[in-house]
Amino acid sequence: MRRSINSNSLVVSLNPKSPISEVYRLLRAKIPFFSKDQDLKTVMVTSSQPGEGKTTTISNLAVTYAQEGKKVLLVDADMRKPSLHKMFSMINHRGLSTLLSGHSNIQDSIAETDISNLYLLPSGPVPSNPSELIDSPGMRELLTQLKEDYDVILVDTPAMLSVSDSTIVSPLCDGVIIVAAAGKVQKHNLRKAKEQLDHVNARLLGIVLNRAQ
Amino acid sequence: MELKHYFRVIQKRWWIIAVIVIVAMAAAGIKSFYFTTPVYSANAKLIVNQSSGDGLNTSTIQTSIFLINSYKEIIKSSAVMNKVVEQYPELGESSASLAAKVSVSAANNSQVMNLMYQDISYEKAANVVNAVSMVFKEQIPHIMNVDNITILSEADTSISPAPINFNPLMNILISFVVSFLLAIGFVFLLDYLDDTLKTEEEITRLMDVPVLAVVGRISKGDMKKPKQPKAMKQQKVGENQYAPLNQ
Repeated sequence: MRRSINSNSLVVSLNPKSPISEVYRLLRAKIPFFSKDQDLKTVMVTSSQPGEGKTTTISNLAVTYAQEGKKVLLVDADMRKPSLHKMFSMINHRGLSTLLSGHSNIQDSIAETDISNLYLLPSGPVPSNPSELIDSPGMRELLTQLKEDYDVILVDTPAMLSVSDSTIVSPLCDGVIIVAAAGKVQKHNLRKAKEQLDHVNARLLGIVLNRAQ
Repeated sequence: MELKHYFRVIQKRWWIIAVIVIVAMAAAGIKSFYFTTPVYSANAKLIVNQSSGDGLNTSTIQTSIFLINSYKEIIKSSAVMNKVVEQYPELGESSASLAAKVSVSAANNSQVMNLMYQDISYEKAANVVNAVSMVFKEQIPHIMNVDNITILSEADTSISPAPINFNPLMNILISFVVSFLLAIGFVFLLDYLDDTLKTEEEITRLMDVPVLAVVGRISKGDMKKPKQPKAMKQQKVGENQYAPLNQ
């Protein structure tokens, strides 16, 4: 099920020596320092508003982990406007939605990408009830099961203030990273996103300031 | 807010300033050239001089100067203006409108009075000031019992002067200055109303959460695969030339 990489934003894979790639490697190196002696296996990446660069950030971060020799799984938990499969030029017939609704198994749903050690669990076809699927006991069980097979699991979720999906997934993960686009993210929105995470006792590792001048 | 920040604000939104200034200057230019009705001004000069056999002396000059203030009012009075309308019906103006449009001025300590009239037709403006001058000169002996007005210069109806309100260069210059100041004000207003976060410091201060990374915009240069050096590219494994050993 290998596919070629869509060269739009995977800068770490295309040009590992570029300054941007170096920033993503620095991000990967910084994450363990915020673990507080807790193993960070599942990290959720979100933002306050859509279009701030979550998918680009999570994809490049996943590539840096894979280049380090870790077995990485990218999970597209954005079942409303999925885009991770496009990043790796993959089909989205099966994935998280079919897995949680019992229409497919893990082996069928997870795809191997063109980058060694990097695997992708796409969102699957857009369901009619994304929040219900995310909030189901199956999601917690799935993450627990996947933790055994992969060194790092990175979960891409929708914008926090748009839908409740991110707020539901955040406590199930070991840490949360918020992507904020410079000059786009509004103060009150970022504050609201943090409050929502605090409300569900999710662990906010930090913020990635994206598209900085 | 420091000076550097002000420059950064202007630098960031310079195009807004440029657009506002260009639009304002273009509008001023278009208005000046195409939408401004030309207005012409005609002048006539009168001199107040007491007729005296002894010639000029300080006393008579002083009296003439004092009279000018009275004459300014008399010219605009209905006694004069009604006569103008009566004698020059071709002007097509009422006495009230003439009184409103005619302006009379005199320089300090001068015996010369300046009559001015503005109209969209220079010929009409010249005819009006000449008519008012003539009627005023005729009426003063009846009103003041003294014949002390001389027409120094009449408005020349044969010339075609430039309109007084046509100065496109000045209009464009004024529009540049005003629009530039307004544009800068507008840019600073936008910056003041901007509620977005732009720097790592702002996020740290607001959120009390660490900034893990600051990622710049991905440019086309970042997406290019690094080129291998030419020497490495051309050389293949086992291609090196070795000198044979003489054994």
